[in-house]
Amino acid sequence: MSGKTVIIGIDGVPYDLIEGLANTGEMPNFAELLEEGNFSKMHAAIPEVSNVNWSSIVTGKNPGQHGVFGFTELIQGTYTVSFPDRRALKAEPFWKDDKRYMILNVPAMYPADEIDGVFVSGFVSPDFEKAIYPDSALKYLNDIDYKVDVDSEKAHKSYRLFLDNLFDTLEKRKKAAEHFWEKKWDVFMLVFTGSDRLEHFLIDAYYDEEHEYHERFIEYFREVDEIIGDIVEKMDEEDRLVMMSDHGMEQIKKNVNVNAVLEEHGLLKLGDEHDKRYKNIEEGTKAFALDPGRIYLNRKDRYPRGEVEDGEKTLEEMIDIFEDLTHDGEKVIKKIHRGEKVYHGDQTNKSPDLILTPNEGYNLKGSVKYDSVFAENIFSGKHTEDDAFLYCNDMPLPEDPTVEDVRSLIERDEDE
Amino acid sequence: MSEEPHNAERTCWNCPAAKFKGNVDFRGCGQSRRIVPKGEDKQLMIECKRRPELGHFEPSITFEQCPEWIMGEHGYMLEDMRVMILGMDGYLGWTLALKLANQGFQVSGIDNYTRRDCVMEKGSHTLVPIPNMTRRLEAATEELGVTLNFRRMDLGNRKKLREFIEEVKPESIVHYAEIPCAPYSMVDAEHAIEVQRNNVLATLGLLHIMRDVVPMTSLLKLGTMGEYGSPLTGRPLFEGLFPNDAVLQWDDREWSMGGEMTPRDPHSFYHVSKVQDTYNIYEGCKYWWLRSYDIMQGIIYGVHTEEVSQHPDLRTRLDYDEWFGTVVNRFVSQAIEDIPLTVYGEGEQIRGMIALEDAMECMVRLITSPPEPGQYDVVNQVSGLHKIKDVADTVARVGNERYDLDVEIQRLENPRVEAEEHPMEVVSRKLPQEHGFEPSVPVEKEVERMFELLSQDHIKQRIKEKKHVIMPKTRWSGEKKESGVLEVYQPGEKEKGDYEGKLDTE
Repeated sequence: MSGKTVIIGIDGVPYDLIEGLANTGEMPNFAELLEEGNFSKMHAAIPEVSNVNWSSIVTGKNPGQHGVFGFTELIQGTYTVSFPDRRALKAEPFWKDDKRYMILNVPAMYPADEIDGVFVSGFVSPDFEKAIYPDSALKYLNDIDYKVDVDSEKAHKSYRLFLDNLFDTLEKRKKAAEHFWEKKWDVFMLVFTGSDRLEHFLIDAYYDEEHEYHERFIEYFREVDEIIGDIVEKMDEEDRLVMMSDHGMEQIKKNVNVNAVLEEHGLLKLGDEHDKRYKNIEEGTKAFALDPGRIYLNRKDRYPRGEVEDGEKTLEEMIDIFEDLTHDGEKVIKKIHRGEKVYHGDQTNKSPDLILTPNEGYNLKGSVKYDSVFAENIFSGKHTEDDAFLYCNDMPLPEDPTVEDVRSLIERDEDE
Repeated sequence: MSEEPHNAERTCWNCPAAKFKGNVDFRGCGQSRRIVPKGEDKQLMIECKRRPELGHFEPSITFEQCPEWIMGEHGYMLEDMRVMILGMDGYLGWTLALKLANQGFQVSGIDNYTRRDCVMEKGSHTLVPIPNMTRRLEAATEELGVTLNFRRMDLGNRKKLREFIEEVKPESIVHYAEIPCAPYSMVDAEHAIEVQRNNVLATLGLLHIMRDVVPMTSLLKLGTMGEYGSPLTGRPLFEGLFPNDAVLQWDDREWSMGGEMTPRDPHSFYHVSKVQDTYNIYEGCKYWWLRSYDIMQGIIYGVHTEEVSQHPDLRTRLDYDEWFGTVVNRFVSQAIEDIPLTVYGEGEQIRGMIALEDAMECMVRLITSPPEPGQYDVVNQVSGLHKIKDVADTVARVGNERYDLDVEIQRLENPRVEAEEHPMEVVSRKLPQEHGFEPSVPVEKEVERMFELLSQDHIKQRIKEKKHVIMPKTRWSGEKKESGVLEVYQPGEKEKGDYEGKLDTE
């Protein structure tokens, strides 16, 4: 008889950060787990955006198969921006079988799946009622004033308010996890997402011991570690524990507006400068970008004012432009992927044509709103592709793992 | 197609499949709190009931771009759009039901046969015979191959209505379920109260049901040009709301009137009920983000649409009695029965009018071009302005010249309280300019169609049977007394006069 499976996700935590906190004794429970289990760096998806990563983690597929290429998408035949969610996922997640699941707070999985067990969607969940299944779980979570996500808007007003909200959200998550742990299940998955929010706004506070919020930054991970400890304590010996982050995080040196580069080179034309939106893309546009560095040819057969038929020349032109893009003498782009090469599967026809991976510290932005190529904003941290982490207590990890490999650890053979 | 369809550039904002609820906190007009996704581009996002796989997105897909909106006879139509007609057994309700169903809409409807009862109560009957609803539905399937989801129900029965609306989830509701008649509301206290109760209270209940069950559904409510009256100052009858550049001047000061309701000056207790509806609907849009076109319809007349003319059992009713017979319909019936056409008072009254077929086309265009959430809009649905005595002339002339009749016209003491001579300027720009409507049925053409149908022997016989219900006996004063004859004259005898009113469509 095989044991149960417990999956703990910590959104956006880099390998070095969690290893560091384990080594310095801030995350003693995690440190203890490292002594026995297998721990490795992991590659995020391309691009390294949370909803793409989690879609790959739960399906074991690449974006060319599951169809989610970014946080935003343009709807077929329009320049209308959409935010794809669970309903856009074209591959089955691992919970689509006859086991009993507790799926708590997985990002991009809204609205809730009606599964045998409990399903609580993670961010972004606009309608709380549709984020929870079944009704009994909704009632309970309403009673404890559960929050799907920390209110990041607060960080724009005050970090203090934001942190209070962050800890409150974590406390409710802990309470919910304890509650649902007591139910009957075969697989229990819990994702912490406040970590990603915290790092986006305050990763500087981690590296700077003098920072006003350095202590509270560490405190958050101490509390996460405590919850991990409580869970591990309740697990049986034969149970499997899989832990992971979905991407890493590093400090931002500069934001880079990809569309501003395209505009500068006459490849993107947006008309009204006071109403810069995708829907105002004008004739003469050869390409545009969506977050973070996904570039799409303005194809004739795909967009209302599309005009590109054979885009090879434009692609080569853009590759040259981005290879030459520098800031303070430093190259901005580390690697330029071609969609057709990095993705495979029946959704590849919807993929971006080029995907840019930046050098350290450069945060690629796909918004059409900004005029200048280089800019700064409130955020201090940005996603990274090559330093997520993966942990498993009882199985060797694949060599140089990616988010697509996680599912193989979650699905246990019956005779294991 | 030479021109772009009228609704090609409408977007998700107008579409009933767009789900704003849950994405926008509709707390009240002007106070909505936009719930924005956590992302860089902060803007309002919605979901689509028909395309849930899109997740959340900007409400900016145009009808032209959206695969759910397909090309129909009058522009784009939402595929299998569900339209509920309240008052489906009536003159307009039945005609519209057939037209919509024939064009591929999923049509449902209710009626409690009030119109049949009211007409019977007054001792009259529909001039064009119509079968009962069971046979009507059967004929619709046999002749047009369509099915209509009908339930017998009083609009005032909120429990049943709610249940039906919850079941059908209409994407557009056409409200034709009011008692439609000025003289009927002026018979006595009982009739006035019944008209206002039926019209005002049932509509108020409907608004509450829509708020709770189908807040995204547009309400196309039949009002009447009679809500405005005929102001003696000659100020234009705008489409319900003052245009942006309207200014009020007083005491050396000025105020913009743009967007405010224009004055109403109803001229019967029935018209008052319509004005009360106007305010109730306006408030519903304001409080709950409902959306509505309030349709100020001119005097309707005629017997023809492609669908009702296909089979005798598909015909719509036609009333000609003093209470429910509208003026053109009454004149043609009188002409056939050799009764001099009854013009009230001077006959200089100018009215906006529209033929049945044109009115139905307007409705299809409005159904397929819904207002935005919270938008209360008004359209003046008229295709021409006509003096009553000129209409009498036209009917008499057609009867005499083409049907070898000898039609005379009689002026009667006016049983109503109304201006018999007045200026009239009607603004009707939205239907032609925003909804691509061009009238295609001149009065003369429809009058000919009416003569054609009503001259059939079995129908002529029906006029004879009920001749006594034609002459007006219901006076606004409360007296029950037949109007005296002021004058009898031949068509063409009267001068037309210089003033003809102004219909402002551009």
